Amino acid sequence: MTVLRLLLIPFCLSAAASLPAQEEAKPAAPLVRPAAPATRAVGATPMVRPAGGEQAGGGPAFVALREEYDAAYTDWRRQVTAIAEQGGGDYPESPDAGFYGRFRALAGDGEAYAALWCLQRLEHDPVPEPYRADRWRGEVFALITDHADDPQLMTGLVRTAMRGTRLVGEAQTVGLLRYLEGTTRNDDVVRGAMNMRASLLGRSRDAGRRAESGRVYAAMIERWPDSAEAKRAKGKIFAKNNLAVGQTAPDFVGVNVDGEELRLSDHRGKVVLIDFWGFW
Amino acid sequence: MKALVQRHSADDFVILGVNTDRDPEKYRQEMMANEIPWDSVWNGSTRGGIPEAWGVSAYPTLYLLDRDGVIRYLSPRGERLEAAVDELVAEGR
Repeated sequence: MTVLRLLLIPFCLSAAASLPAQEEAKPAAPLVRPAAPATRAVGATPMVRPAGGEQAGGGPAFVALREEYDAAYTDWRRQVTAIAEQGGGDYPESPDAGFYGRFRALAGDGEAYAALWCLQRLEHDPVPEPYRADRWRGEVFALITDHADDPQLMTGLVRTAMRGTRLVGEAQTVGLLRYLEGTTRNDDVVRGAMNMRASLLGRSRDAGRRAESGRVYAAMIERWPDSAEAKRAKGKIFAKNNLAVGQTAPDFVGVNVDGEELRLSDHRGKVVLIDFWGFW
Repeated sequence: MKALVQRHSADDFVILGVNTDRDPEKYRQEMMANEIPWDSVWNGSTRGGIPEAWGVSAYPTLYLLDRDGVIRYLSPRGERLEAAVDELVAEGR
């Protein structure tokens, strides 16, 4: 079955590529997990992602393994933090590599959530480096084909798109997202995939692809005018059209924390630094 | 950024913040504790309001405008920011 799917991908991708180009603008920050933690880095703190930040879902065997992994991960994180607070040094290996084989086995039994878990950590896969792109393509294609209507799973899958782009390139990732958009019957999944596709296209070196990104955003705004993605897309289009170097900044007015009105144009005649910030 | 405010007259240079913190009391405390010398529009969130209208998705995002309100630099940092402010302040004298 996997072989068949791998063979199908080129057709799927060329079909996607031959569809009429859709829609415009630049993306909201794409949702990507940080790269897997560096193992045994000396001096540099390993990259640590927040625990439990992943999608829930999956069968009982997966949930049990996930809980075991989460506990190991939390423990590892505590160790890393402690070492970093003492000025750094020799960091222990993250539990990802040790758990990979077990999640892989579950994925082999047909557990889609385990397959997604593995896609998020493909650097631990024993398959030799040059074949990781094939593995990524094949797994993503299979998950879309079999689970396109599972919004949780597909949302997680869409979030791996940036990683996929590094493996298989932007054109194929965009093709797979279009395949998902055409396969799923879930509106939220379509929106999420389009948002990611627009985001990827917006980063392209190719001007034509960047223009296509704008068209995708425009289509999203038209189809889901009140969605958070559409609002972000509108902001990106506004910035592109009005906030470039050389343009007069559009006026804005707001109130400070004490309710006093602050207006940009009140400062005309002075050099103004507008600072979008927070302490958080 | 504090040093920039101190170095220039308030008639020449101003920082106008758009703050995206959530808790106004914490914000007030931090403003005092860190002696922040500029005022900000209170957005209460990174969502909605001016950040959303302006398509801001990374923080901090900076726009440096000259005396005519023209955007001259996007998110300059460190020494580049200092030099840019000096340059623009000098322009209008």
